Amino acid sequence: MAYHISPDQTAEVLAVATEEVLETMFFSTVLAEPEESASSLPEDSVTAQVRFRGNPCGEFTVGLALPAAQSAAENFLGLEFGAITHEQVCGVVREMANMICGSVLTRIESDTLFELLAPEILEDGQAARTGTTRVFDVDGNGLLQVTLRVD
Amino acid sequence: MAFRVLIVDDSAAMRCFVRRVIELSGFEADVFLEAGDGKEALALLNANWVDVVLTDINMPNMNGEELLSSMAADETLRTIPVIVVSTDGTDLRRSRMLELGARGYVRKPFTPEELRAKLEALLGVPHIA
Repeated sequence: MAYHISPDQTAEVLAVATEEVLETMFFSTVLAEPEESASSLPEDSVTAQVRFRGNPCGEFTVGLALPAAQSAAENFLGLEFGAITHEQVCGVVREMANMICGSVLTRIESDTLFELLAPEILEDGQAARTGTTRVFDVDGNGLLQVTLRVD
Repeated sequence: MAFRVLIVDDSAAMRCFVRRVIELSGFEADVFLEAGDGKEALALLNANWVDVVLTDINMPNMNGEELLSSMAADETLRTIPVIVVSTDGTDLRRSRMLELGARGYVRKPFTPEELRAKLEALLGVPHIA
């Protein structure tokens, strides 16, 4: 069966999955930002990407402004403010990408087995520029951008 | 009575989170072992007794499905209950893992209460609200 879901439906799924994961696992509140905010992440943001196989195949990218990434990582690991290393922040952002991607695919690939490959940190620090994108503010600590691209 | 728990996940961050959530939930656990994949988990299981295994699915070297199959093929290890903790919430995946021998399935994201309830139901611990 071919993959068919409209960009608007994809955007809605991205929002629901992101809110669910951030609120439940990172104890953070996200507020949707206007579409014009897309690709406006600062240069020092932390970005992770997950490729997935299934119907469809594609890739999912999550990028966070550094303060938002640090805050989310502290919440996730239960560490005190300022006690976290950059390596730990990257590990948590990889896991965040894994969880949001899994939550998205659970909603759009419910009748197929999908496989997530290991998340990777993107060195250039910028989120993907193609695909369906949503942008959120995380607890006032900066932007979070999620992008789903299907092959 | 406190339980011994093995957490299997290739993400160190997720292993840390699962352990913290179990502790926060009030579930009685006093020993936590950690493995980064199924192979490491089998090595630990052959040297240490645990009461329950919590495992991810997608991992390098030996994934969660292969770990379940290996445990099911071993007379001793097959008695240890396994709960799969995965981002994949589809009925198809859940059914597949339960068919392979998993005794429980928890979809990420999850709350401390959900994980505790699953552990207590599986291990026969009376739940005190």
